[in-house]
Amino acid sequence: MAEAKSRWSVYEHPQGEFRALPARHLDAAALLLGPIWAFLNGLILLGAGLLIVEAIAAAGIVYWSKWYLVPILLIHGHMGFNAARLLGRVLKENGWVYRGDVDAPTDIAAAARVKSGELEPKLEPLTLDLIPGFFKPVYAIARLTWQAAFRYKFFWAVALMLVLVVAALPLVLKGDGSAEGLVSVLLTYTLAMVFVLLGATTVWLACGTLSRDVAECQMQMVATKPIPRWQIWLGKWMGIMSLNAALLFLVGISIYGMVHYRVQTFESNHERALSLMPADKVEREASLHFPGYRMPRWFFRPWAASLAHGWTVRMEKDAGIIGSSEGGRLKELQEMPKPEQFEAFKAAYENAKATNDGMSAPNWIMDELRGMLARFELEKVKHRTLAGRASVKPETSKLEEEMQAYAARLLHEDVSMRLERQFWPEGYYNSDSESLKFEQVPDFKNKLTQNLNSRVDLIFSGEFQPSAGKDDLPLNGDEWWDHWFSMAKVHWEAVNFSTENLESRQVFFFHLPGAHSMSAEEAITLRFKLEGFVNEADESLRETMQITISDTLYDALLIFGNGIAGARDYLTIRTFHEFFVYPTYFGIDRKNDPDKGRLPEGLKADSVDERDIFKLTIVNHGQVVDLDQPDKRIKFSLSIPYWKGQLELLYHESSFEVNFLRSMSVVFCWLGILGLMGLAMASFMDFPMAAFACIGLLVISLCTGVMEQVLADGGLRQTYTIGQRNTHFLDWFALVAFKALTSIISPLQDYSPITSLSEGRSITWGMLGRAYLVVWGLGGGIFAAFGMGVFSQRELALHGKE
Amino acid sequence: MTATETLEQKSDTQAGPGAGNEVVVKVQGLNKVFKDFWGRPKAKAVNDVSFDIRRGEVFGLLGPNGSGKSTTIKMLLGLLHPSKGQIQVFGRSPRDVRTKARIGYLPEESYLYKYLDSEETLDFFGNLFAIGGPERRKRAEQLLDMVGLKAVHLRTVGEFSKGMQRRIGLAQALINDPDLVILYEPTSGMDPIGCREMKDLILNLAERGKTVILSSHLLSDVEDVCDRAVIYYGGQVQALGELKDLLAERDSVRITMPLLPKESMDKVLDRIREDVAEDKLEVDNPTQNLENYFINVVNKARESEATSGATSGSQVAEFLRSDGPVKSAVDRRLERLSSPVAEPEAAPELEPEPEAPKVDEAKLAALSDDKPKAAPASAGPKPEEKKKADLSKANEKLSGLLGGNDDDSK
Repeated sequence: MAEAKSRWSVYEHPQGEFRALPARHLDAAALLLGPIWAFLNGLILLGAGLLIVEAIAAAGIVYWSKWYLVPILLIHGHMGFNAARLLGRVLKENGWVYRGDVDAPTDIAAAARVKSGELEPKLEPLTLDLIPGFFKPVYAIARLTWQAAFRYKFFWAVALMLVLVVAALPLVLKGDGSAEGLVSVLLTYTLAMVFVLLGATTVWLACGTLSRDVAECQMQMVATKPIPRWQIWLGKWMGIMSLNAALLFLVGISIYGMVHYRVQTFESNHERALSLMPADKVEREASLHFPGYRMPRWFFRPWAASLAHGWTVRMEKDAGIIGSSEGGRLKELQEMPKPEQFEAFKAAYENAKATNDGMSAPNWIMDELRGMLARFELEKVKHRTLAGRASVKPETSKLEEEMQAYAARLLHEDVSMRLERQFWPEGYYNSDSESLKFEQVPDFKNKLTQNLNSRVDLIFSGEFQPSAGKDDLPLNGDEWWDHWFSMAKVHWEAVNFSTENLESRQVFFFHLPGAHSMSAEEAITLRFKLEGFVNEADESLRETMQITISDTLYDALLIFGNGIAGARDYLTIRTFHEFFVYPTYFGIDRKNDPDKGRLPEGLKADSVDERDIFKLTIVNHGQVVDLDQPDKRIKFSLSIPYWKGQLELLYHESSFEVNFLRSMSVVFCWLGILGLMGLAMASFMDFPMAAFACIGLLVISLCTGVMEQVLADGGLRQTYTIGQRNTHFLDWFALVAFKALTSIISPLQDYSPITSLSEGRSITWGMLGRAYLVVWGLGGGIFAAFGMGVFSQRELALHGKE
Repeated sequence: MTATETLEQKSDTQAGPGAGNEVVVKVQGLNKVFKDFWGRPKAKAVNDVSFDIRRGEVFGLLGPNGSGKSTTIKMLLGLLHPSKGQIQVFGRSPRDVRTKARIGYLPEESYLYKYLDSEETLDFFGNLFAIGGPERRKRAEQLLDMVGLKAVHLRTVGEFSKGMQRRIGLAQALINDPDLVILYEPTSGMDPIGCREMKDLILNLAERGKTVILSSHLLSDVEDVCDRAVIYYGGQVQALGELKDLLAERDSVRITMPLLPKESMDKVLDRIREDVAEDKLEVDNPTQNLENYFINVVNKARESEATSGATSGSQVAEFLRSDGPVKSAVDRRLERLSSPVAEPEAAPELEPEPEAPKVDEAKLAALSDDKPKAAPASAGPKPEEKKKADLSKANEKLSGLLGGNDDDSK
């Protein structure tokens, strides 16, 4: 019977000893045992290092996320597929020399037969060749960066530094006391640090790897091989980027673990802090401390309302005022309209307080409230920060048209009131203010400017006297239009004071994907900022006024949907507010619709209708100066600046994990363009010069604000002679250069992952794709085309070896 | 007609021993002017150079420092662009990747990545030639064996001595089994055994129809292996032709044979004296070549001692091996010395060069010490002096052109 043979790699020691190792592409033992296999085979350091990594990852799986399985799988895969090479290397390091492969039944037989000369080893080393031929040269160049990074301990140094920065230092970060704030600070800090550190490393590497190869003449060896220069360039970039990807992977795991660890720690600390919190503070936190307090926001949370019903029943039972059985009372409460539900809770709570000590409710209810507050914090983190929320802005296209028409009308009225006919733009003199259309405004204001400039001497000499109360006459049409356009915007954003719900501002959000089919437990978030001002204040005055009135509170009612679901609260201005809205909460049980009969025929109580349109109604009950005297109101107007994009509806678009992955991809995208920039500079400069050039470019890219200002001003100089800007030939050059620079740089700056992630904003796949398209396709493309072109034409043997 | 022109004409009609008719390298009217940052001419490194190199030739590129041979090589490799003139390698531009796929290049210094070990170095360059994984590793193993670095292949190139770096440099130059090998100072820093192996390898390559361009200041190396040579000075070609034409002393002859009995020897000498004056006749015993002697000593020592450095390379890598027997460098030198001269007339003397550089006077005096010595025939001439005298004229010609023997730079 023929003996079963395997393939063995035979090694010879200088002292004449032979040894055979299994020649297999995949070693099952190494694949299964991973680091333990390394230990058993004498790879002590490697085994120890990998075992530590696996232990941390295993802890991550148990405590945080199943995603920590990824590094373990990678390690085992690496060991399994590289077992033969790793063992061979151990032998070679100990002086053994590879002689070739033989087929034999066992390793001992293989070694013995080669030693006796019975078998002649064939020089056919086992090689897993997965790289396609056309890509081999580029792969070789890219791999070189890895080899250098590991031989010079660069990879481990940077990895250690990054892990320290993102895992060790954040341990001392405090945040603003809330879990949400802590996570936000953590993500902002760590991502910013990673970007700065890896960005600097990338530029340094990119400048160094190419320019040093040229200076030290290694490039002469590479360039004489059959690889086009652009592929050398590409290989260098791919090497740097693959290194960045590995470092980002390490850092990403660290940040992810750190965030979860800190949230977990925060939870236990917060519960401890709440347990020590005095009862009156707990009441305040739960919005139950005002005399005659109104329904707090948490009552709109289904789970919190459900808890409150249970407490109501228990408090009523303790007080002996329960009318029916506990289950019956609970059902009764659930079927009540929401305001009545809260009234029942409030009555029971006040009664419990009165029967306890008159100052605070019984301990059990305070403990329940503490538990609820702790859950709120986690819910906020879960829904707001550890999430990927996409944004829907209100539908303003129709409003915009109306606002523009209104602004044109205001301009026409003002001009007709303040100017005589001689100043009027030709063809527009008309007593009918409706006659000026928005489309005509550019022509109107240009002609108005010309007329004012041509007769400016009449104004300055005093020959033309504006009629009474018409001072500060604008000297050009642009200024005039800007003022009234701003006033029109303010008018359209204003929510005027109203004692009852008589006057309100309605805003519609369209295209809220799938909102009407959300479960009752799923929340969307309304995020907005309010501004307060006296009626008729224009935008600049509004800014000024807010400085003086920012400490005060506004009593505002926000109604979601068709007038049933709403929240009334005291809100500060100039800070962002976020309200949880449960789009289908109020319509979950149609048969027992608590608001049945209170709505007009055909309308549902959901916040979002079947067409996924969300309606928001805002009522302004005025400014409250003293919370102890809530009925004293000041009739300031409120505004929701939705033209500035400060009103939006956020809905759950993806998990935090997916969003985090996409954020890291955007960071990777930015590192890509930095790498391309470094290589482009190093394509024709020495290392120090290339590094300085990169720093210079980065500084310029930070100055786009100044450049945009110069472009807006129309020149560098700001001197005028009687209403006319003084021009200079340098202006022309500056305008052309700045226009070119801003048109390249500005689009790139729109893609920042840090703010989005720290605010729990979703970076959608579309945004990610656009980021790559713009940052790599536009900015990167310019650098790559320039760098590859210059490098391909460069004479590489002009310098001797340094 | 100048000496250069004469030799050029000959080179057009004659090819080296292994040479075919296929022109591998064609250089025509080549000029290279280095310019400063502002585009102003700084130095004219190569001035109107033309030559052809045919398949299977071992072609020497000689010249003193700064004569333009480095620049020519770098233009042949596409690392510098000609200011004027044309270069074709295998009928294409030297910058064409298809051309580069057929070239192996060993530069004047180790321009290798210091952090790679020798196995990784060969793997890297093999990948650049898109050689498949198994074949790449196989060639790497054979080449490491050939250059004697197999035992130290896990040491990084940065840790290597200069000679070891030359060896790994040579291995990388051969990983693609090139059709044209450009070797710049290949034996620099190498021990005599390595030098011998290098020369044998060059001959082996030529035997397989490969073309070798060799640039070296070690003229004995060039003499041992080259079929043709070009000599540069001041960026211009001063001499170009077959080495045996350049070096032949056509007015004298050497006969080597076993030692004769005294009577027979006297008879032979008497017969010769009838035609040759006493002072023109030299008789001596051939001495063993120092290179051969050294190699014998080391080979004996190797049998009992171990070394942590490079070992002597084993046989030529299988994929580079010639099918037929290859004459060693020593055999070739002897063959050249004993072969009939193609042209009966004396080799043309080079025109005196008005701008010739200063040469090492002492060395030159030693090399050109060919004053006739009235030594009695019975005493026999001193072997060392005789050897110098044999080569003195050739060395004088070359030394006059080459000057010192410092490291060459561009």
